[in-house]
Amino acid sequence: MRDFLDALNRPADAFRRQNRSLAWGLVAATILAITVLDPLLGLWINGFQKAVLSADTLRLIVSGIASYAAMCAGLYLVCRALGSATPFRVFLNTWGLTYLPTLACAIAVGFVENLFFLFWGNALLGMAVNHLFGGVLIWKTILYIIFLRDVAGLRKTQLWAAFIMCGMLVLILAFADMAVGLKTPVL
Amino acid sequence: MKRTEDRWFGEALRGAEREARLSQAQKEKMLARVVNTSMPGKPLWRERVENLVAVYPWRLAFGLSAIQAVLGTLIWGTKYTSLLIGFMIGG
Repeated sequence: MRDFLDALNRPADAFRRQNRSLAWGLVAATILAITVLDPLLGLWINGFQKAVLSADTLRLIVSGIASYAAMCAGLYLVCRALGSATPFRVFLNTWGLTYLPTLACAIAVGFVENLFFLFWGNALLGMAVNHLFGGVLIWKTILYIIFLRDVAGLRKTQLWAAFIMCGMLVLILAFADMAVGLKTPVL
Repeated sequence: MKRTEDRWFGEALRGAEREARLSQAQKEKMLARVVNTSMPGKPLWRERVENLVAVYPWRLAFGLSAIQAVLGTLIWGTKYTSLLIGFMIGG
């Protein structure tokens, strides 16, 4: 619980402790929110007949795990090239601690997509959703910078170079995730 | 008569002395400044900004997001929200 609260409130401390179970648990929860929660909401709210658990779900789960591994590998390679001495194992064990906003985004996407008729054209509800998505994006960006600084150990020019290069990697992987059907990129 | 005047001056001096004494808050502020200037490292304002970002990051994120959501909706109305929702859930 302490590690969870640190991942929420003091990410630098959570990164230092490298709680692998929490990190991978957050990644698993995010993948399940995208692959299982979304069709379940579709079934409950709109009565869609799409199977909640199918071969497609399995494909998406595997794609989510592959996306996480690819993101960690990309981060590792970029940071390594810029002078980071952190081993790949640490990237795998800690990047998942930045998944709280990703999980929040996956859950929000599920609800907004299935209840879009409530938000579309309604200024007040729309503003609330806007606030949520904007906040999640900024939160993830902050965690991303803290990660590059505290886990990868990059400073000043290297830090900003890694920020831009990994940012491009995020864009590429986000498009790839969208292409395979992951509505929220597992990044 | 002289003794009364002495007492009056004495009280006035004691009052002035009492007023000139530093309050607890002033003492703490001075101590923080002395510690900050005597220790090499980051300036206090920079540490504060870093803390604002690194501790409770969701607080800053949702604070900034609230500003963009309110301003965007006030300027562009529901079009702004529709654009963002469309972007987040893939159109």
